Amino acid sequence: MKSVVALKHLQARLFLHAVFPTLDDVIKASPKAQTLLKDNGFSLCFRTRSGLRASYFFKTTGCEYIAGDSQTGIELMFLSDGQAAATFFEKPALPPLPLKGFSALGKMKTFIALTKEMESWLKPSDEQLADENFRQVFAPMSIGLALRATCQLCVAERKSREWLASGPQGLAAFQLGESGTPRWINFVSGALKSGTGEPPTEPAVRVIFKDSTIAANAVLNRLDSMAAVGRGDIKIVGLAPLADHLNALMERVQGFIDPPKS
Amino acid sequence: MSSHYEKSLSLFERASKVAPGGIYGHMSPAACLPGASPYYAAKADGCRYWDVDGHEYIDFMCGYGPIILGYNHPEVDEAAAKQRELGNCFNHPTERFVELVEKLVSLVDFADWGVLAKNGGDVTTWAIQVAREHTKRKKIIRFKSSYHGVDPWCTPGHGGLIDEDREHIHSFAFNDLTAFEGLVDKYKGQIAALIVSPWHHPVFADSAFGADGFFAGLEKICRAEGIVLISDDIRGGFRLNIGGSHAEFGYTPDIVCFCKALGNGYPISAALGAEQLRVAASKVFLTGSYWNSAVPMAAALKTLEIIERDGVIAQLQQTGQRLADGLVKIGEKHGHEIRPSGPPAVPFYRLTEETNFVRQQQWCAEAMKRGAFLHPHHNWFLCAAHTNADIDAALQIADDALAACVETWA
Repeated sequence: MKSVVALKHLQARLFLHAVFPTLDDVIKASPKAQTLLKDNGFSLCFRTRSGLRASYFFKTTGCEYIAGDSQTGIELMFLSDGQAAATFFEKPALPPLPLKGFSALGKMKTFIALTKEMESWLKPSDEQLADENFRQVFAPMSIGLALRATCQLCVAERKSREWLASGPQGLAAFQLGESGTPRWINFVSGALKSGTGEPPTEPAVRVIFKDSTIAANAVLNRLDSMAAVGRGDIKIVGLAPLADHLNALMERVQGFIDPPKS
Repeated sequence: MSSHYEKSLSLFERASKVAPGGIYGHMSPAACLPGASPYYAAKADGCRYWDVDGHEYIDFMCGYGPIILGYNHPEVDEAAAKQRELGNCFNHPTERFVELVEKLVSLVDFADWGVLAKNGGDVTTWAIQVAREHTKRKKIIRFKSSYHGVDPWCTPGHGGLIDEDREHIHSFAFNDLTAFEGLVDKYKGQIAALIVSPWHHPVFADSAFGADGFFAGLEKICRAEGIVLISDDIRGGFRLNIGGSHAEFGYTPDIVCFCKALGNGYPISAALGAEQLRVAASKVFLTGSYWNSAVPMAAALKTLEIIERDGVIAQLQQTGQRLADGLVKIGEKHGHEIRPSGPPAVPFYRLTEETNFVRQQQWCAEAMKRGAFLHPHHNWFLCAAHTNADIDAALQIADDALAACVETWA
């Protein structure tokens, strides 16, 4: 059984380096998020005593994420990973210590409002999912989050590292339609990286969803993906076992950041 | 999706409404060429089969291995039919059971006893239980990327598994004797069995033979450490050596597992073991509703008889080599290296210029369209029904297919 300390570390890490960077997609797509940031841009760095740190620069055009310290307006320190995880899960916890930007702490209300907006995108209603424009954003956004989280799991968790090492490795890309913008991951021990746009090298496998409905259903685990591949709704070009091997970890992500209610 | 396989796709559409995955397991379109390969078979004869759209294929998968003599082999089918007239499923085994186990024990040099089942996974999983019973140890060692079935200890899938399923399963890279020594040191006195394939045949990769001294080294360590050596000969059994492929590669296991070619398409598998494991084997419960069915046993007896009588193994080697030589030449002709790997009777062929198999998939798809079923990712199988003329016809198809691909690659 995973120790509570290790679990909290993983959860804090996943929020900092996988979930919050998703705000970039949200801000680009959501008029509500853009309104929240109108004339209200700010920057924020979260740190934990265990050494986790991530910086975010918010503008109406998006959120730039930096994996580490940067010159941000606000710096908040969590004394433990458990405190960070509890805060991110909105459970009772002491507030983080402000190390910098006392006068700008009011911006945290905006940050919280942005995360609420993000949650509404990541956990959509059926009504939202009925909207093609929503799905066009939701599916790549969710895939991007899962790929970032997969990188983090492989960095921080022995089981994930062992899983990575136990099967095919390489660059995998996911996209909506033949001309969709790919979300990719370099699923390689010691060289883990994820990104958006055409990957730096030709992918070992490219997974192409026929449309946003297929992609959204796949992301939400509402799709018989093997049947979808057979029907041509999902096209897998290249090293299919890599996609399967990677998928096993992507599916674990939700268990950490959205665990079933006990 | 291609209309070349219209009825296949239509059937798949129906199937996917009533069966998870539509087609599951190794025959899933996802494991081959989705939309660019047949999904459903209609009939077969000799080394050829026809899909539901009426396309004819020279077959180099042979039902993923079981068909060693050819589809609908008259003598095997006659032996099966004769037994069927007497009955198939009874309250007891029949004399065929005794005859078949006696025959198998007589063929396998180290074997003193045998058991029969239905699928390869039935006997590989049972074999590791026998090893655990015999040694009173927990750990099982296997090659990385090897395939031994779909039970939780070995399934290549990841759905439905819990951590504890693999707690005592460890793997090491094929041909890395040092890594095996390391595992033996690390788990001293805890290893029940090492399960090996006589050669390494992972999917999406070249097959590989053991390096000099590899299998001998494994066997030596197993003997010294009291580790049961299991040979999973499901893939190659009876295509390389009638007594088991281990005889070709210079090692002697304690248990060997057979399936595929044993019944020429009739469902049957077997595990054969050495005397010292007899008591343990007697204690590990094994059974299944159809495991004593007599028809597949009659078919297996006839299959083994024909393999020996007709020199099938030598024939497979000859036709397999003809195929290998021809494909290598075709690659050279088009300026795209085709690398053969594995034994000629159970070979794999791959375009070497890439690692992501995209061109390989295109080439195999083109070959399928032209009437040769060449699998892009999985090792192939030769059968006795492949004549030189069939091989030559398949080579012509492979040549034309590669020519068509090269045009698009240019």
